[in-house]
Amino acid sequence: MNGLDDASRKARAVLDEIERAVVGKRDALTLVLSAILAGGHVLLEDFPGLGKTLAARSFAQTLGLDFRRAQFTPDLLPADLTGSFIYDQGRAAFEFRPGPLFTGLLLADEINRTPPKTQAALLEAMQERQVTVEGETFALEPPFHVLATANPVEYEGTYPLPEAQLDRFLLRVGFGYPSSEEEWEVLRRRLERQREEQTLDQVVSREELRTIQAAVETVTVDPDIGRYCVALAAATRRHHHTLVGSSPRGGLALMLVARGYAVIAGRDFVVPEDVKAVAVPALAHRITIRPELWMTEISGRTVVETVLGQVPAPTARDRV
Amino acid sequence: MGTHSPRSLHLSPIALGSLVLVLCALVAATFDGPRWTDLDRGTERPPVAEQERDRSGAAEETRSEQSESTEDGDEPWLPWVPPLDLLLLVPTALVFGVALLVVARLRLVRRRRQLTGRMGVRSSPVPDPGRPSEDEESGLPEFLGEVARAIGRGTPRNAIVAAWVRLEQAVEGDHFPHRPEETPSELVERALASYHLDDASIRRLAALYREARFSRHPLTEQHRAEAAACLEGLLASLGARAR
Repeated sequence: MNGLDDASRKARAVLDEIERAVVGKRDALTLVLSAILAGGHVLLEDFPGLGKTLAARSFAQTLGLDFRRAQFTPDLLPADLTGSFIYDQGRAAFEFRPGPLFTGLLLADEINRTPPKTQAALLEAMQERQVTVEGETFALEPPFHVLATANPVEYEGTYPLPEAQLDRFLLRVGFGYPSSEEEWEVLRRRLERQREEQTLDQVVSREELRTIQAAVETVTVDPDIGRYCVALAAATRRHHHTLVGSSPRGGLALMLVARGYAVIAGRDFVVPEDVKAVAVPALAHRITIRPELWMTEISGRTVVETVLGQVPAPTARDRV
Repeated sequence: MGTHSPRSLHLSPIALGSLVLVLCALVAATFDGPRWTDLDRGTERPPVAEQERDRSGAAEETRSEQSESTEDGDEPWLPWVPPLDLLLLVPTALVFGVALLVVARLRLVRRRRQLTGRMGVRSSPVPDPGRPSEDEESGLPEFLGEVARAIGRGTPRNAIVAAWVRLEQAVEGDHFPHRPEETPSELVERALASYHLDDASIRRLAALYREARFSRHPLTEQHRAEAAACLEGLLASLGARAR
């Protein structure tokens, strides 16, 4: 448990440090960190100006990761992300010049503004953790995480991510608007700082992050908790509002993120509360609603909330 | 979940509406209104000279026709009242229209209720569980006393799990139904809203139960003692209430 105690303490220290920059978003930040500890990628979907980029930069600073930002525009090409071979006249040979994918934490800003070809190149790299250029494969050194942002309200000139590609993100998280008090706190801190940029201290090194991620792998998941994750994912497929429910990858994501969430909470075991806490961000983006319900308030989120209120949670009644 | 298709429900008002339209068309078909040919003839205006010439003759014809029709008895009693078939058509269409509106309204209300129920986790407030009856609350200390005495038996892990399950069963009642989808934390919130229980004791007991039920690391006698202390705390809070 010592390794996990240390991991929990460091994870909470990371969140404390990030909260110096991102005000009042502890729950959303906890979810993002849970996904990073679980080794996954996160889609931050929310309105402009809510701190998505700041959060990504803050995670990179506190986790000791190299940070690269790629602004996804309609003319962005796959080679702009992966890198390409450039002819070196001095050596009379082609040499590979790596693109922004070769980093620790990549902020893929406004991912839905680039055409599907470039989106696919990024998502393939996320899944395979390697890129192939001109027939040569280059591994992306771990830890490699992508925090992608998308604007949910603009449709003009955007290319919405297909369901199969959304599935590659472990979580989809929204930050939401701050309260008046939190918003004033943002202004107050800016006045106090007397400069625009916010610099955070590095809390863990790249190697320490990998140690924490290894510790997360040792977290106990009771078989009943695993079956609960499976039942929740399966229930989204049976729900009468869904055209396509969560894939089995959704159930897996639920369990993996719940482990990270448990570590941040200081436990070496997952409880049903962890699963419920991460269920909406882990499953909602994997659900396609029936077309006739598109103009209603029904969404992947409401489907997940419904099944959370219907699927029996693990109990001990059968054991007593 | 998903036991019936919403498509069949969507089609039923359309079918009803079609039926109403067909019925209206049938009723309208039986209505013997003025013929187009008569209308055309009526609208064709003769030249002015003919009008002048015919005027005197027409007046005489009208008088003679009136006298004939009065003799034949074809003149309706109430000439300003519309024909009987038209009288039937209007209320029939009205009745069907109102029925269609009522059905549509009922479907809307039912759909809203369904949606509210489904999104309840986020938007609907949890209904007030109310307070238990005097009998139910007065029986709780005795039940918890038994649980506290039984916690010394078996391994600490089994004892703590058994204590929690018995606590769950103890608080259950008509006003506090068993909800299989509930986590221990959710049950604690509901129990605190319903019973006069010590907040810290029941929260700690729930945490100990989660540890005993879902962890794999060893649980010690210290955990058992802590659970016993929580049960004592719950008993004390109920006892204070009883006094």
